[in-house]
Amino acid sequence: MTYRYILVCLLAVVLAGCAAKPEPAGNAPATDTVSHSSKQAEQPGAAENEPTIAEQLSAGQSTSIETSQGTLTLEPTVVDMEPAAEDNVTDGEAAPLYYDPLEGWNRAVFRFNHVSYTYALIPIAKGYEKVLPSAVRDKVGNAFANIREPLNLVNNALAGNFKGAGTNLGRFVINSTIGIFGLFDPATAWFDMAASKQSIADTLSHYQVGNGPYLVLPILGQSDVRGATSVLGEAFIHPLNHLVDTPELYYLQGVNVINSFSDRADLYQTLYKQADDPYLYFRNQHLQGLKRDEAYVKPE
Amino acid sequence: MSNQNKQNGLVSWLAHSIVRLRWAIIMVFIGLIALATTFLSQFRIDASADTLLVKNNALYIESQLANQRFSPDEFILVAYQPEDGELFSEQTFADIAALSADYATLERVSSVTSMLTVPLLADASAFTAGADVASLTWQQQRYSPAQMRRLLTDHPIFTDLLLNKAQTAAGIQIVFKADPELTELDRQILSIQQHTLSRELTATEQNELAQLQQAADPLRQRLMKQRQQEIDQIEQFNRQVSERAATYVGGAYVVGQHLVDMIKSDLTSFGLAIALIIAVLLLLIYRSWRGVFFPLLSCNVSVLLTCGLFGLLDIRTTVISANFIALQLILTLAVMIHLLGAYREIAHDKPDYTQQQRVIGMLAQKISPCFYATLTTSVGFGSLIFSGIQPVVDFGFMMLIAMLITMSVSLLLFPALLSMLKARPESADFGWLASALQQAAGMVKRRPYPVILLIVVMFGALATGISRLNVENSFINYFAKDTQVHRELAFIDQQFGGSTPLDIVITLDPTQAKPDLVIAADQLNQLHLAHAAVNAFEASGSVTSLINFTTLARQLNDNKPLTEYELDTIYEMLSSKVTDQLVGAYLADSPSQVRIATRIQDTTADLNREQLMQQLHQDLQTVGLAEQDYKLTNLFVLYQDILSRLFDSQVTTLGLVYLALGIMLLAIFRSVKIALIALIPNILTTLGILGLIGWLNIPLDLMTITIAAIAMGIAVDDTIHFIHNYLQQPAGDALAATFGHTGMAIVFTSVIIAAGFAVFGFSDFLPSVYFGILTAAAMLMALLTDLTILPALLSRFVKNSGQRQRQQTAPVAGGQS
Repeated sequence: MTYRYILVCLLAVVLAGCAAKPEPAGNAPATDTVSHSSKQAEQPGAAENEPTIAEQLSAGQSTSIETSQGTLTLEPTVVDMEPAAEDNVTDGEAAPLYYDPLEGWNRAVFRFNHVSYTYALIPIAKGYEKVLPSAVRDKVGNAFANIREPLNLVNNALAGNFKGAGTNLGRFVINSTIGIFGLFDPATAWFDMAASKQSIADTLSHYQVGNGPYLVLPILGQSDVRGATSVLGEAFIHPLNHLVDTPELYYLQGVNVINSFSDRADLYQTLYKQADDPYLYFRNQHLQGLKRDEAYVKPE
Repeated sequence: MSNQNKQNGLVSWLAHSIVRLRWAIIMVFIGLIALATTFLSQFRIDASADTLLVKNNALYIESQLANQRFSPDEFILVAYQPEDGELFSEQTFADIAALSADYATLERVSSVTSMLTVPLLADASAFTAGADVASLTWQQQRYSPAQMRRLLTDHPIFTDLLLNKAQTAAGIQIVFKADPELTELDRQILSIQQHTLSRELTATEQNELAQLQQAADPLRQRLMKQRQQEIDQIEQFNRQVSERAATYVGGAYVVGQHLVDMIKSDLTSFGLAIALIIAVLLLLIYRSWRGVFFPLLSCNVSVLLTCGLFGLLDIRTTVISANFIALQLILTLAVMIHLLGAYREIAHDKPDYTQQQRVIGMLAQKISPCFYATLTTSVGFGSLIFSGIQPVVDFGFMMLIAMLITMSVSLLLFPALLSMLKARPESADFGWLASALQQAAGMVKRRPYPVILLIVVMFGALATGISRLNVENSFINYFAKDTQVHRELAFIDQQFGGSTPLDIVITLDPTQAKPDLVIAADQLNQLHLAHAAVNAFEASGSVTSLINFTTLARQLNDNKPLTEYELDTIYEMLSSKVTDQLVGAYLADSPSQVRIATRIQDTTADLNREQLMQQLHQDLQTVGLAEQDYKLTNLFVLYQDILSRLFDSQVTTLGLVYLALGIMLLAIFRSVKIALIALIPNILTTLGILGLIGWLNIPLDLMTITIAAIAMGIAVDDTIHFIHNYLQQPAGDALAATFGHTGMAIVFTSVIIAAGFAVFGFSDFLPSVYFGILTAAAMLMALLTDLTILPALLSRFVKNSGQRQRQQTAPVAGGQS
């Protein structure tokens, strides 16, 4: 078991690196637009190159504007999370909007993933789908989600979200018992306790730890250094570890991956096919989503 | 003098010829009637809302192009309002399901959408679960009423469409399939027509266009008929729930269908009513059957010939021109009364004349004033051709044809028929009227200036109402408030997102586009701003665009906005068939354009459409769109375009009428002074009627703007008859003689015409009501001015022929004595 502690130490070092990375000030122009946990600039101060209202909305800011019918206040419905004040971008020159220093590595892994998906994972997932009806797949998904609950509880508690932690506890107790080992979800259906998932990455994010550079993980796909840490960390402290031993553990984790992948196999293929540069498509999607989630922290 | 003689010679030659050739004339007309009858079946009413539009202008073609690009489905909206007020109940669901199943049996229906058939999502999990979205409907999940209420309250897409905000009524959208053949023809027609935006069409193109139109026409006719049947059937289906719920049927072309129904029934019932009223009045005036039968026969022959000719030429009557039958009946009759008046006077004065002599005498006296009178009426209608508003132009053209037919029937057929009769003694009557007219004559003669002053002040005061004229108008307001149609349309208008469609088509900024994305965030947010700007208007009903979908997505996504890539992922995830259905009507490719569809609520209080358009342009530019980036299209814009031209058009047509009639009067009377005097009472009448429209707060519309020109065209007849008669009177009390002679006929025609038009007051179609009542009022005003200010001016400034002759002979006589 010692290798685990070594790994944990390694992770701690990497994370420290992430956290130590200088944070761009809230309203200062950021050269790397993957501004770590930055709250979106509320007031773009630039007089020149002033962003249009549409760009402000795209940056995730609520805006208001005067028309003949009075003041309209708008909440964005779709964002690209690119900073509204773009005076850092010299005209014509493509500034690195998406922080991706590891692009060479990432593209290699992305290619590897694509091959593995195409020739292994997707055929397996398809077969899995054929064998198990969607109702059963749902139940499997429920069971894995239930086993995760203690992990959510710890993370919620660490992030100071005790209400969330309470929900996790309640859900775990109800679903493990009435829900028959988590196969069913009576906590949501009968007790109106919505899931409150919290990963290590969420907790780190809560403590202003930046996500670090974009990172494509083998098989698991797009992530970042913080996400990778979370995945690895959870792999060690996941409750499943304490319930089953290797090699059954790996089988179960495989089932978990396939189960969660089976829903998305078709979608992956569709998106991959329609994109000119699928690498960029998946990367940008991931990074925008990440920034959006940081800007719109779940109401607690 | 020799000129006068030549003219008299011509008139008497004409009079004799007509009587001599009476058999030939009658045979020719019988032939014509037979011919007209065969073409009568081809006579058509085309009352679609389309006919109210100006078709050859850029706005129309742009609207058509936008329509083709986004091809929104044709649909009818049925609103279901449960009487117990509980929308979310098993009973309501059962009724809606049953009605939907019934509607689906109609042949042309492609789908029936209601709150039971649409997927209702509680959260974003549905997005990731992919294929299951379609199953999240009431039909498959049997949500409880409480769940339905929760899922549908303030739904960003379905509110105003499938249920109203107050949650008192549900909407059922019946979507129809387009006829692929007609769609293809329309596409080809439009592809030729769109060249007119930049250049004139070549001869071959025009030829091709005409051929295509001809091919499309029977398909359109069939579609109209089919729509009519569908609406009837839908109303029939709705009857089964009438105990529990009120139902309302609405949608863009339902209004058009109601118009057709109303006009058809008006055409027959008012045509008959007017014929009846005319018969009764004729009987009252002449107290003999022949005095009723022959004028009525001539009136009917005129109408029959006109309808036949319209059938032959494929000229279709529209909402505006549907009154032509009544108009023609009335106008033909007016000519008859003048003719009959002269005939009876001759019969009374010279009882020993044979019938032929009487008719020749009548024609000799009346053929030229009647000819001029019908000519001036034609000019009144003809001026409408220059109004610049297509439906009004068509109306003017139709009436011009109708007046020419009226002229030939009343001056050829009627005297020919009359000369076949046996001479009978005719009694002149109405002593009270005659003495009243004589008193008026005396009064005018004694005090010309006070009379002139009084009339000018009266009409001047009335004319100040012109400043109150407005053009606010809508289809809904075409129907009387207490009609079922108005109630249904108003309900849909207020509760289900408005009536008159207005589209804003925005061309997306290509520099903001991103590779791989169907729409970039900056582009979408520009749309969002425009959407919000449109939505901010009180008069905008439902506003639909991509924003409704992204708003729903944000709601489902824990109130977090989507990223542009997530939006794209959702778009890619749905099959192209589903995306076509959902957003096809709001998003188009190359060039990338998005569409905001709204319907303007026509029942909005104090709606100022021109201001709305101005402010909308201004607001769209405020939120960052450049003028060339967007276009406003669809019915609202087209209709507003017409309304905005009404004032100009009114001024143009009136100016033209004044000018044309002035020239004609000059040609008839060959004296600038007399022509000016003849114009004054008519100008007073037209200004008075416009003022009255203003004071009564009646909006100017396609029909009311025709009133002034028509009224003037008709009223000037009386003026001509009066002046013509006055000039022919022998010396002595010419005024009194004219009052006795022509005054009676003027009173009769004015009263009959006014009574005939007043019948339209019973219509449910408000433009007809206004048209009828106001034209009647115009006739009475014209009667007043013709019997007061006209004789006052004549007696003061014009000497009649008798006086002139005496003056010319006086010096000679003086020399002799």
